[in-house]
Amino acid sequence: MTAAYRFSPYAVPPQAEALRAEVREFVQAEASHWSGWQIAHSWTGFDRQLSRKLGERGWIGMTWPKRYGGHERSAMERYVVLEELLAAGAPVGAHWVADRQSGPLILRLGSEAQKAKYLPAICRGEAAFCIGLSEPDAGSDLASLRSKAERVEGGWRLNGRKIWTTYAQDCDVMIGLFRTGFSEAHGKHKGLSQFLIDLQTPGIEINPIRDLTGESHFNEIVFDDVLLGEDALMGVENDGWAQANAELAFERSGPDRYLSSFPLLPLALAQLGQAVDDPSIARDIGALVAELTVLRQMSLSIQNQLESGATPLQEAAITKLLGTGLEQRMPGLIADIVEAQPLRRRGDKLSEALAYLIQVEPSFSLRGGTNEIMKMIIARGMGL
Amino acid sequence: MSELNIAELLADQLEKLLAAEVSAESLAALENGTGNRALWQHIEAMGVADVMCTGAEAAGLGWQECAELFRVLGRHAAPLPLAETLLGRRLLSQAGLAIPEGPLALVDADISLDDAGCLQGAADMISWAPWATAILGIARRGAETLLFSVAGTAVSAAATELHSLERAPTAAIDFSGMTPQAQAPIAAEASIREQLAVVRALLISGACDKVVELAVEYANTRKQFGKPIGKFQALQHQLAEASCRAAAAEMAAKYACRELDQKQPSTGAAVAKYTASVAAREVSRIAHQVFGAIGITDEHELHYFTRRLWQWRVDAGNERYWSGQLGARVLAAGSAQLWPSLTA
Repeated sequence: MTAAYRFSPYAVPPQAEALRAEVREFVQAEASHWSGWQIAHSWTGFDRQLSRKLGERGWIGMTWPKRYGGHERSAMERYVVLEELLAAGAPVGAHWVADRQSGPLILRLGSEAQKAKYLPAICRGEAAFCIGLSEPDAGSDLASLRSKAERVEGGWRLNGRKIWTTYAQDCDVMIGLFRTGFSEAHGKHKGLSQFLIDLQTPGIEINPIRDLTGESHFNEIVFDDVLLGEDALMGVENDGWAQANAELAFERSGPDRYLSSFPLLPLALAQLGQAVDDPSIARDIGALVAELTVLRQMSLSIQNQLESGATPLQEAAITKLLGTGLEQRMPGLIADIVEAQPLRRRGDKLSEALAYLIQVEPSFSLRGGTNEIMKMIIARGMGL
Repeated sequence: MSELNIAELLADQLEKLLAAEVSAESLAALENGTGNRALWQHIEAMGVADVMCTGAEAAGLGWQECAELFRVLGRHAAPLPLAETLLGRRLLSQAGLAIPEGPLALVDADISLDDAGCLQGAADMISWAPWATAILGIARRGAETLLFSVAGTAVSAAATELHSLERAPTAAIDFSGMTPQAQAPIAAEASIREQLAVVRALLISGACDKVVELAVEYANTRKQFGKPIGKFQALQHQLAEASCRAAAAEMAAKYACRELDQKQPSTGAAVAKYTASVAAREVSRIAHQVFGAIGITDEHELHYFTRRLWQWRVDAGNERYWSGQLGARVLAAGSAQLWPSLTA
């Protein structure tokens, strides 16, 4: 037998469902201010004010302990909040990374002081985090990164450069992966460590990189003799690779891996109206809805496994590969179905959302690990 | 013992029986008409064909509990009408009709019952009809929905033998003018077409798993350019894609089972059969690409699975049919209902 995957249907429990109406009402009220261009940004839309409002409602750090500002709610309650926000294209980027990755990492491996310093601020929606992984010469081959942190009197000195870090120019803190121990010759995966880096620290230069939409989401960050205290080390020295990898099943299987283009679909249905007699349109819409249904089930199933302590990395890779494939197909297909011009025109939400998404969808199968990396992980699990 | 344990135990027993009894030889014998029904007697002796029957004395296992049974049948390309019989006996028990001995076949066609008590309508393809002791279908009479049954022996004159891709005993039958052997009103959880679609999706999911397994085994042993072809990334990526399709088919089929168990009108069947039919198409395509010429030969076992995938893809509605059905429902419900129905 090759890989037997553990996918089984999972229904959101009633206690978590009870939250849905409240979130939906909140989102609908907020959504009236969002343009089509904005909703198309989904979890890469950066709006600190929205994050603070969500923090006030207790919808950030939902599962974390109350003593760190969390709300000790279930993972499924959190899932309901996430999917309601994403389905509407809410600009949740100012807290997304902290809520999804950085916070859970700090909670798991951080010192008591680190937890006390960062977690309550994240829960209030006031601490925006970014992840410093890629470097100019280390993309998919991440373990070959070269930026280094050296021990110095009282702490660490960082030198090197990180690239493609989303919203570094607007964020407060980066969790960055740096070489601390062995050189690459000892095995690429050894000797890497994670650091909590206040982005206001002297010696850090953040250079936004304009992307093909004309906006600047990602950045190049130069570290030039940046001095950090002892307390900047995150978790165990030289264990950073394993630490960074443990989060991947979470990162790759959430609703953000299949809903990035979803806001287009209700807009398209509204434009098409309820009396469509073209069967090919019905087939296209039906196929999209079937795929969304299956991906949601896969994502929920993984969430449920993660809750019970499993690490379904294969299943997460499959879900990401299929999910980002759907996200990428939707903009072009929907533009064709509604025969809409992808352009920015005030008040025309569908055209604006299409204009943005058609330009950025190529990034969906890059971020969080490329399609090729996902296939490599899946093939390895199959015994190839 | 809990019901799930009974179901797991049966799936395990069935897996062992089929692993021992089903081979390229027995499949070939079935397909060239020389197969015997000894295996069916084993199945009857196991009692597995009755487990979905409802009622006081019955096991009454649900769809989710039986999902693995169907997947095991698919994994082995089982030369048996067990899937149809499981479903048929469930329908008979739901309608309160007596259950005849022997295998059943199911009609997926629009049939009506006229005022004279005669059936009207034809089915252009019924798998396993030549083996069936009774053939079941749903007939409309005015606003009524009736389950009807006709004896296998009664239809031979109206039956035309067919050779499907599956090469199981199959026939087209014109029921017009026949009087049912039995009939009764039925309130089933879904139409026969929907239930058959979910059954086919489960069979497809089992067969896809098997085909992916065969392809991986072959890729790891067949050497070209001095190394196993499975070491080439081009093949690894194709097999990874096949595995994704198989996983999606399994998820979709099991989701539909849960929907059927909850007896709500749902999109489960459409989601399951659309996803499984796409998987059937893509997994068989990739497997044949990996196997190369040997996979096309009669001698190699691959075709026993891929021909069934091609047949099951179109049985009870192909991916175009079901995406069309689902899309029409989504469009008619309107934009505001989309997200609420996806999260319902």
